[in-house]
Amino acid sequence: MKKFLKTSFVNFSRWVSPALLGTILVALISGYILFVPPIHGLADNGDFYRSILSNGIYRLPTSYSQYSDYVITKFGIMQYFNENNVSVLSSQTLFIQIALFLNKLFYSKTIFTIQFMGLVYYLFYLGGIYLLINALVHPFRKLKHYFLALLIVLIFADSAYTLYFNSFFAEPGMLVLMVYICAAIISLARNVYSKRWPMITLFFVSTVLLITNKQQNAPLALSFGVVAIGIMFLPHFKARRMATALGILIVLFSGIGIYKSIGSEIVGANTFQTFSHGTLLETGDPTKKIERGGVDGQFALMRNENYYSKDYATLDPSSPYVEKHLMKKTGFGWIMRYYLANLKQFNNLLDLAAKDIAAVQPRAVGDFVRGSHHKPGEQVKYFTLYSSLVGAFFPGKYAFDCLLAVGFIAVYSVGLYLDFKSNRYMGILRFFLIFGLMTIVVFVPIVSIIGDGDADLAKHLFLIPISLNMSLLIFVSDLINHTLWNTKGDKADV
Amino acid sequence: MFKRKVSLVFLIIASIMLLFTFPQKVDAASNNRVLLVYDSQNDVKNDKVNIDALQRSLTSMNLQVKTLQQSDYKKGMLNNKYLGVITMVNWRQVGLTNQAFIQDRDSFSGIKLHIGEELTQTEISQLKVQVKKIYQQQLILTEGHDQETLPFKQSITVITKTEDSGHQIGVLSSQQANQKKYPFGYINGKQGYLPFFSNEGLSLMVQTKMIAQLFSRAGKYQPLLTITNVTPYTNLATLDKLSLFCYKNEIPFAISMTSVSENTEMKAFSRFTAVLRNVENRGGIIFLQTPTVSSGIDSDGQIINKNFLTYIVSLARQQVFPVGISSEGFWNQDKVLRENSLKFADHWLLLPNEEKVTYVDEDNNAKSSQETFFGMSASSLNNVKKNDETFFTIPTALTISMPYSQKQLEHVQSEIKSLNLTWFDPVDDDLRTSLNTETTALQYKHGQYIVNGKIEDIHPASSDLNKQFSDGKSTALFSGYFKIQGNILAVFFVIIMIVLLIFIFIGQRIYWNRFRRK
Repeated sequence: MKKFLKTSFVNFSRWVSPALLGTILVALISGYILFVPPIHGLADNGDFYRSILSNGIYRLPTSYSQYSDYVITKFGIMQYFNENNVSVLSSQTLFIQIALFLNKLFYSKTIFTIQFMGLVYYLFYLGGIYLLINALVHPFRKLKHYFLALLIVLIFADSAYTLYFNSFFAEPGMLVLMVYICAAIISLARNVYSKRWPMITLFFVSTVLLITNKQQNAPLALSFGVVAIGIMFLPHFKARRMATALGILIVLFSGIGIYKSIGSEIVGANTFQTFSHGTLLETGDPTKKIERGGVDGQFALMRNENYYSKDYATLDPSSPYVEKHLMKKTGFGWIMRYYLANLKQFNNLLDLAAKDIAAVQPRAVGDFVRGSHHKPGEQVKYFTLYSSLVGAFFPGKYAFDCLLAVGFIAVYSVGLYLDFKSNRYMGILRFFLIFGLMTIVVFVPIVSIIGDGDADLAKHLFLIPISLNMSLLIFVSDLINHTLWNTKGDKADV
Repeated sequence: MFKRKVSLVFLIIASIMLLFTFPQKVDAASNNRVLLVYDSQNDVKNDKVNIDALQRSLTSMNLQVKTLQQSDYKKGMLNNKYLGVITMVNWRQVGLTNQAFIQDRDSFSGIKLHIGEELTQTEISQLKVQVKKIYQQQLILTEGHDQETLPFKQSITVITKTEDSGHQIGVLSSQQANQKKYPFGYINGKQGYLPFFSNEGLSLMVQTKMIAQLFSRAGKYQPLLTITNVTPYTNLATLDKLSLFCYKNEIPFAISMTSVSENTEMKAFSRFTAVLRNVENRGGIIFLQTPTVSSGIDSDGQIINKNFLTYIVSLARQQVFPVGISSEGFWNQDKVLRENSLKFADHWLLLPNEEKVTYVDEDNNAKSSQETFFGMSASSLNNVKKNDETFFTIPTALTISMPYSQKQLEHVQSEIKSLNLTWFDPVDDDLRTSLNTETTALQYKHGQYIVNGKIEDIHPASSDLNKQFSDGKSTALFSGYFKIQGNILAVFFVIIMIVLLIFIFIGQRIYWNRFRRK
């Protein structure tokens, strides 16, 4: 019996690599939820218009509200000149245009169906997953490597992530690109492919696309700049070291570019919400506190108000009065000084952010389509084991996240030191990847709180759970491959 | 027992007599519906403000106006249920084209008013006048002692020959050498004509006078001084100073203010209400203003209804009692907005629409209240001669925007002084209002506030606002003890740390020395 099992496993492993197994499983699990009718996805929270109007897609008129409750599957494609100029510069446009092209080719020239959006992300995602698993387990086909592949499936086929594909949010693009970035670096570190330039190109292209995907990603240029430093340490590489340096520069400039493209209206919204959703929160009565900072204490009454109010506003936040007496005073410098003077409140806000890290699946919008016999706003529970476990047990403390980051960096700096001494590069590349991911974990909450308060916080933090998951997977794979500190043993390393 | 019966009978007789001796100014029981049909909003020249001003002035006359764009008019809509019909040609280039309306109007027997150009032959013959079109003129409007130079007009239709039975309100005169004079407003029986409608200044006063006369609604009202744009974010010190200024100068006044439905537990809110209590104590009355409509999402009005209940309860808890509700004019043209805000009160103050108007459920079917103040900015009367004998034909609120800085405050104070009017006094003029929600019944009678049937005394706030609202941190009995204890512990741990470090240092020296060759 034991022998039979062993031979069948050997036969199985000869035909099916861990990477193939994982990719097929992800394809089946997420394919079912995305494409088998009634399909699932994410309903519009009111943000879709930003990405669809500039791409020539509009909402079809309906008798019911198209917001929040149910996923809308059909949209109209504009037939004439689109007067909505590109309001927000974003690489998301690229994904939408591909989906639009496929839709026109196979489905209709007038009606856009959301599955094509899902299909584009889905295909890119599967490619990324294959590269990622291959990077982590190549060239081994032992049982434990299949186990690692299954762990990746458990984490990355989680519906909390894949539901995003059937929506016009920018997040699925970020997820897909993040998978490619990590797969590229790990492949380079473990020398999975004989030629290096395809992975280096993949890394830089994905990074630039990720940074330009959403304006809030601008500061990430620094994190990925750090990751790219690792590439400089690759051997026999003098001529291309210049090219890599150029790549880093492009990454940094794309960050600056996307930051500069933020319109004045969005700056106004952010300035206001940093105040109403940040400085006024997590404290007893902020009246006197903001007065000490030189702002009229009456504005404390704006606590929790949105710049774009949903129904009624006592005083329109975009009015000249608020601009003159509030927002002119509460610039970046003021916010920094305020938080420095109220460190405890700032810490509370960071803990609030830490709690939101685990909330990947947006609870405010429904996951089902109309007519699927589900309640409005109901959430999918299918294949959400990992995200629910994390949601239940991951501690919502910012200090914990920092400790985790310090732990990861400390563990991998040993590998860095050893490889540096013995002229190997795997540990160096890996360290800079982990270091870059950890800067995301540590700094994105701070940037989000200072930049926009707790408004849309969970979505601003979307990359953090992905970074943590990636680090966890790298860690587990290093344990399995026995390469945590001694990279010499890695058979992939030629 | 017998005594009680006698007094009861006496009371009943007295109240019946009261009813007969003081008839109401306007007979609200009779038919008061008016149909207003206009050609176009004229968005290009933003002349929809004229429609808004006309609607509000009609509401202030206690008329319920139903407004239609001519394209929405269907045959038979104008019938005997209407007291009158108003035709408004707002954009000469569009003009009236709906023949169904023109026919219905010609045969309508009620009151008819035509505003603007494009008088039809039937209208002219019904008015019994002769008209002519004059071009490219800047005319002067004169009414009594007051004069106003009108803006330049491309063309205007004026009445050249009138009948003895008709009478005119205001005179238009040309600026040429051989000055010609034409009537401005003209009434002949149930027919009326105004060559144009403007939303400000003397023309507005004369227009409302003419319309009120045509509909027999003309009264004599002193204006109510009203400070608008008061919000919880207003400079409260300035508001307090302004109310004190009015009090010292014996000027009765009102404020129109918005409130918040959340965060009412904050000091900022108590500070706001403290200043409002001062306003009440200094003879000011408060109109609760409707918020800004950000979107039409509230399709059943639940949100705005709940907001209003919260506004009123949270304000009343702090002894701030609004006497009525104020809003931009369009709230009265919207079913959801009107039903869930204005209807709570029997006294309204309707202000001009701001630039951005967002409807929730527009029905253009305005209702009226017991008394509606027509809001117009005080500065629009700058060129009109005023004295303490100046009266308005409809209840009017002259508005001044809330100042922010000391400099602006001084400017507003001098503006109020220079207005030199006899103001409407809520106490002397016996204002009686009531505002009822599901939870709260507020009444204002002769300067007294009655809440759920009980008379309330309003406690004045301290003159030093900041002093009154100190930080409010209560110092707990043991807080000092815990603080000291914490410090002692910290020092203790630091000492232990240092000792440990020393031990580690010594220990590693001993350890290495064991391996060192001697």
